[in-house]
Amino acid sequence: MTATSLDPRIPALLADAATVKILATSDRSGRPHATVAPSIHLDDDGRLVHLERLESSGTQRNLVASLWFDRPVAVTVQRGAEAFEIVGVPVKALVAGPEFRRQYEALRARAPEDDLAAVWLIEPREVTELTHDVRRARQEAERPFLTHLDRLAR
Amino acid sequence: MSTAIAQATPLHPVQGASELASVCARHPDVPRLVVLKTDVQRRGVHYTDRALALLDPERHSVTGTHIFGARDGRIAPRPESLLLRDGSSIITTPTPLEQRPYVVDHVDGRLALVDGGAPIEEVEYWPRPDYYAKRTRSGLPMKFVVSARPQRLNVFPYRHCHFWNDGEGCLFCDIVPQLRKGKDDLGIPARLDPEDVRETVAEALREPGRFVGICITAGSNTRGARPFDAEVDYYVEILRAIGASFRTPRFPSQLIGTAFEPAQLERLRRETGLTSYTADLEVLDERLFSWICPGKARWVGYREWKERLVRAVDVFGRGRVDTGIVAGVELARPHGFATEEEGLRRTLDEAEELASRGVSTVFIVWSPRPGTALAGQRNASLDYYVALAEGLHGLRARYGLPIDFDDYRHCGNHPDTDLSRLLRP
Repeated sequence: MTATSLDPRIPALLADAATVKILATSDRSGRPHATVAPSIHLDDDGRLVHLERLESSGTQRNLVASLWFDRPVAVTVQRGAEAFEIVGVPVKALVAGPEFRRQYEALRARAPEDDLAAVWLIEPREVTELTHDVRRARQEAERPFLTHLDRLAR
Repeated sequence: MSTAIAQATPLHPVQGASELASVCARHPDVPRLVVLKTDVQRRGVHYTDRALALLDPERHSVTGTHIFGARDGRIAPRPESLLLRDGSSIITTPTPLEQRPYVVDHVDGRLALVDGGAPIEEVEYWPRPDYYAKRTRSGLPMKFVVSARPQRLNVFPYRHCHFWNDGEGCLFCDIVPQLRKGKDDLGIPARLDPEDVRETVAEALREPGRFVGICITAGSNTRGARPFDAEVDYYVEILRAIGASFRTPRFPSQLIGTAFEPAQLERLRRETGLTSYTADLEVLDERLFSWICPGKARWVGYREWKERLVRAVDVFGRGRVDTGIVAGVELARPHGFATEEEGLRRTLDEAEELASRGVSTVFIVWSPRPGTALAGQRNASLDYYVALAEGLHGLRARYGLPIDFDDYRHCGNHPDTDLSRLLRP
C-alpha cells in the first residue's frame, strides 16, 4: 500500500467532536484489539494523529508492532449515518520534542491527571466509505445476486 | 583499527551491505529498526558536514558531559545521539571513516542514516531540554551537571573510579582518561556538589512531558569503613538532593553502582527515593571477569557480585534489579571465547541462572575506544548481537521479569530491552 489522499469529507468528520472514532490494531499473532480513540485528528501533512496516553496499553503495544513489522491498522470514523474506514500504517512515534510537548500540554490542560506516552503518526493508505446507505446501493447495483427476493417482490 | 588481531569465529560470516538484510531475514521476530539500531551502535556513525549544518545547539542536544569517550577520540560539540521513528534512541559515537561507520547525512530535506551510499532510515537529533541553557547558582552550566537523553536524566556525580588507582580499571573503559579531558577541556568538576544537582534536577522537571526517569552512576569508590561505604554515602547525598524535587517519597530512578552489601543496599532503599538498582558484571564468565574487570574481581569477586545482585532483589523487588554486560568483550583477544557460538551459549547460560533468581541481564554493544586497554580490537558480528538480544529478551519473558526501569524510554541503549515493548504484562 502506498500513501493515499483522503476523501474531502474526512477532515470535517475528524474535526467534529460528535464523530465516533475507533482504532483497530492487532498484535504480532493477529489478536485483534479495538478502542475508542477520540484524539484522532489530521496533521498538516494529511497523516492521522493518535494520542496514546498509556505506555502499557494494548494499543501502544500493537502500534509498535505495526510500525516495526509494517502491519496496517484501521480507523473507523462515524457521525450519524456517515462513516469511513481508513486503513493506514503507523510511521512514527513522537516521544519528545516540540510537537510532543505541545500535545502533552494540551492534553494535560484538558485532563490534569492524564499522561501521554506517545504521539502516533499514521499514514493513510486506503479509504473506504462505510456509510450504510451508500454501501447498500452499491451492492444492489453491482452484485444483484446478494439480495433477498422478498425485498424485490411485488 | 587494527586488522591484525585475530577475531572470534562469527556465527554466520556475512560482510558488506547485505549483512543487515541477511541478519533481518535470519531473525524475523526482531524488527528491522532494532537490528539497524544495533548495527549503528556496533559500527558507529560519521556525521557529514551537511548533517552537522542541521545541528542547532538551541534545539538539539550537543555532546555534554563526555563521561565516556568517542571512538574517534575527540571531545567536540557534536550531536549527542539519534532518535529513530519508533521513539527509541541510538546511543552511538562518531567513528573514523576507515572503520566503516554508518553515515548521517542530509537527504531530501531529512536527516538520514546512509550505508553504501543509500539512505536507509530517517533519524532525528535529540531535542535539547530547556535547562541546558541555564546555570546553577554556583555558575556551572546545568548541561555539565545533569545530561539528558530524550526521556531520561543522567547524573554522573563522581567521574573517578578508584579501581584505576591500582591499575585495575575495566579493560574496555575510559572513564578516567575522559575525566581528565572533561576537567581540562570543559571545566567539569570531578565530584559534583549535591546542591548543583538539586538545582539542575528541579529545573529539568519544569519542562512538561520530557522525562520519565533519572539514572545515577559514577565510578566505584572503594573507601569507607566497609569497602564502598564512601560510594554509598555520596549516592545517598545525591539521591536525597534529587528527591527534594519530588512530592512522592519514591521517584522513578536507577542507580548503576558497584555491587553493594545488603546493609548498604538497605540503606539506599531506606534513606532515599531510589526505585531500582543495577550493578554491572560487564561479562558473564568468572575467568573473563577476572581478566577484564580486575578491580571488581579483587574487591568483590564474580560469585559474590552475583550473590549481591540476587540479594538486591530482596531489597528492591523483582523486575527492579539488573546487571549490564558490555557485549562483545567476552570475545576479546587474547583470552576471550574462541567462537561467537561459545560466547553466546555461555553468556545466555549465566544470564538464565541470574534470571531464575530474579535478576535481569541487559547489554550494551561494546564500542572499542581509543584510551582503553582493548583499543584496536573489533566488536562482535551483527548476528551475534541480535541473537543475544533475542536470548536475553526470551529469558525475561520466560521468568516473568519486567524491565520497565531499563527500557527504551529509561535507557535506550539496550536492544534486548527494546523488544519488551511487545510483551504483554
